[in-house]
Amino acid sequence: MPIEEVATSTEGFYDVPRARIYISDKLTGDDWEFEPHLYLKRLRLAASPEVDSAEIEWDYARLTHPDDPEEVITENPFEGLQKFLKVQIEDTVDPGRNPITWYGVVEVDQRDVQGSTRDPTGRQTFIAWGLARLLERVTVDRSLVDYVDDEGGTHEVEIGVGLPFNVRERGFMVPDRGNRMHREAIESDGYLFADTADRSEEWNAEQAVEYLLENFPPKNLDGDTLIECVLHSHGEHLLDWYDITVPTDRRTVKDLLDEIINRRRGVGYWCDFDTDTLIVNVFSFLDKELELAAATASTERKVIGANEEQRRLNFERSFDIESAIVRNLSTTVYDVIHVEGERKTATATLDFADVERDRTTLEDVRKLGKYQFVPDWETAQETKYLKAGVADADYAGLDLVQKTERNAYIRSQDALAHVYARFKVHRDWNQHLDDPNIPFIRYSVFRKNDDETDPDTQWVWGLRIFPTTVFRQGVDYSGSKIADGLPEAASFVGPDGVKTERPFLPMILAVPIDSLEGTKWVNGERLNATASYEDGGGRWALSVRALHHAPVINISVTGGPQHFIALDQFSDPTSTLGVTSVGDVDERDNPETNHGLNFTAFKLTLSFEAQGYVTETVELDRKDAPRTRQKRELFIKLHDARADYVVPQTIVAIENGGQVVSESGGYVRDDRPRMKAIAKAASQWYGTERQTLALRFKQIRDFVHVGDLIVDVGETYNRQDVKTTVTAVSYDFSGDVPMTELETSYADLDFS
Amino acid sequence: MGLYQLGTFDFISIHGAYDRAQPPNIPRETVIPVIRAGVDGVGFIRAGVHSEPFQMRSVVDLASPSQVRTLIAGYRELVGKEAQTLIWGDLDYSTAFSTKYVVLDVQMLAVRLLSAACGGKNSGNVLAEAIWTLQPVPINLDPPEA
Repeated sequence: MPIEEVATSTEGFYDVPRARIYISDKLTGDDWEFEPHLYLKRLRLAASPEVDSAEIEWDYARLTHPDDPEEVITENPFEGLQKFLKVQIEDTVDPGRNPITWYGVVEVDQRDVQGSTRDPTGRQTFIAWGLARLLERVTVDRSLVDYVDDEGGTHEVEIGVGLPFNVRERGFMVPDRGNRMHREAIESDGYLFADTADRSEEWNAEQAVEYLLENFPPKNLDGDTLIECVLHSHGEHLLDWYDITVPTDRRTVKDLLDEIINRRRGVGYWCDFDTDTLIVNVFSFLDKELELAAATASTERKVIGANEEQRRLNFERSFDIESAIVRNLSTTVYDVIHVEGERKTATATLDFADVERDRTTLEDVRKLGKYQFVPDWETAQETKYLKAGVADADYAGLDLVQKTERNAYIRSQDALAHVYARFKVHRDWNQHLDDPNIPFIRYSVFRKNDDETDPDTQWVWGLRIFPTTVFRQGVDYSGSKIADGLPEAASFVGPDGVKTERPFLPMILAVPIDSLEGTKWVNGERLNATASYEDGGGRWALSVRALHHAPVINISVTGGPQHFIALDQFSDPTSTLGVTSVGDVDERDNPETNHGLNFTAFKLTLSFEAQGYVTETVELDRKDAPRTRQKRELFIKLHDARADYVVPQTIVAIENGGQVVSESGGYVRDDRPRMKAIAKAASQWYGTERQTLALRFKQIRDFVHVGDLIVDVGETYNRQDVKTTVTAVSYDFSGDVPMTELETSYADLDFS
Repeated sequence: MGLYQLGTFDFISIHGAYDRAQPPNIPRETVIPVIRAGVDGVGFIRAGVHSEPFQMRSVVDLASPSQVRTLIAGYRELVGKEAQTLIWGDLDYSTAFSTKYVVLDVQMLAVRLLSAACGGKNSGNVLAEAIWTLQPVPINLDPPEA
């Protein structure tokens, strides 16, 4: 992009310009009245969130004016409040340039009252604010919805609240946030809010700003539009690269523009007026385009645009410079950029084992690392469960019905509720899973990266189990579909035509049963619906839930006693626990007659939340920096970035009596490429020093504007690379010599 | 028209307060030199046409002592009024230099009764001297353009 070189004057003589002030009751039209004796003291043009301002003076007394000393007149106080003001300043050095022209509205009348023995005497100072002030007085109290009726006719409907731009923050459970109509409005310009979810898309910042300016212009006392408002971007891809979540109800348009067009996105704006239109001018703080994401087959390249108005200041030989202060800031420099998302997850199918029963040899002890879910109850508690009322003194004298009643009561008390129900991940679990089909193939459940030889070993007791898995209902994850790349599956269109989010599946408890057709696998939670037996089917089922404080689950038997899933333990307790007499049960509670199961044959697919965050890191080249300097690390949090890994051979469904597995495993959601791009972009932004410039010179010149980017100052022998954007220009007429002052600033980009 | 006149007041003479031969001041361009460390040379800002106040001494005769009071009152009336025409040595400064003068102050220096007098403006034997503080102002300026 071409960089214009500008310099203040180096000529020997130059004139001081005069500011002309005009007043009118109307902003548009030709009713501007020149007031030769209103004097400009100061004019400040500023970028958002500041508002431009002008300070004007008027003397009232019995006096003569400098331009007419032959007449003594009485000037009364000037009634300027709420009038529109126009200021014009000619460029006396380059008369070919357009004059500086500024519009505002007078809101403050400050009087330095000096007495009025004969004629009122004093000095008035008026403060006028720029036209952004008009937007500060427009409140969003309604929304315009693009409504399509049953016949396909379109209407604009107004509702009495300000709807938010995009419904919710981005996050794990929320696929669809957009509430913008998918096509432009028929009756007006730009987009409106959508009437139904299936016609909606997400708002980006540009669309939201256009909606506000089109539909919420300032109005006059009769309710008519005072001036039209439009958006003008000085550059490409300034507002279309990021989406937003912004509530609007009962907020002012200025407040919303300040939030949407924000320096942390690398953009700002200033307001301008042309004939009858207020123009919101958007500019970039970047000197070069910054790529956030490369183009893919399904997505476009994402960039933040560069500033189109770049200037190289050259005032090395100018007399009129009062001061030029360049500040170099290393406070915004970092050496390492980490982009962090949510906690990593891993989804796998784990087995169950009864360690006490299985351990017979030292070899078995060594194999402990393989054990996954193991009982979370004590042997003494299990013994008490099995024996139940046998130890009671009067037990022998009870009949069978009484005995079974007594035993059922004891077994159902809270102290024993976890026996045969609560299972924990073994503390020595080696965090690997063997391939069931291929010997010696082993998969790491937790991964630092895509290198299988570099597992991310967790502290087992610190793991947490999600209440659901990462699988969505209705999506096929079998075979190699995860590795091949799943289609967009976050929502579906229901029978009512409304787009609905696909729910996440709960944990999958795979249970083998001996059915009429031989050994089958069923989902434990639908045991009573899917199992088929000679006697017509089971009457009980299972429910699984995860506990919050540890990697522990609870499998509850519904419709029967808990020992229905401890068939071997209940039928043969002697071999391990030495329990010779088990409390009696009747047929209803006997696992042998109720298709009891062994929990050691269960398999559970669940999703773990690991102890680390999804992170992408970029380290900048600092090999030339002194090694004794502190390393500065920046952490950028991306709240919706996830990496959800599925271990190969994980059971993803139970269908037709068999297990459906993901043979390849892979990532059902992997935001790491996006995070890497953001880390790379952030490293470009935060890897270099930033500068600010404060320049004051003894002229009134218009060659640098708010929003321009200064790329350097000085000539070759005193060059300073400055990449800083002008955020305020002040014209000061208060001293002997009028001055121009430039202030610049930089953006603290937030890439989230 | 007399040789020395301020507004409607005719004088025997009006001259510089310290040097009789000093003519009245006139406004001129204010030039502000501009220098900057590290830059060779001098720049100049033309800051507009300005002037400084200055003092002049007037002498006039009166026909009788009873006219002193009227004279003093008349002089005082000029203070703070519109800019006055000054004729000095038969040179009308309003036409010659586009300059008129605003009276900032006037003080009577002396009122003397002469034992013998001849000539003068009023053939009188009372001599009145005053010192004027005048501010030159440019006239015939182009009005500010709209």
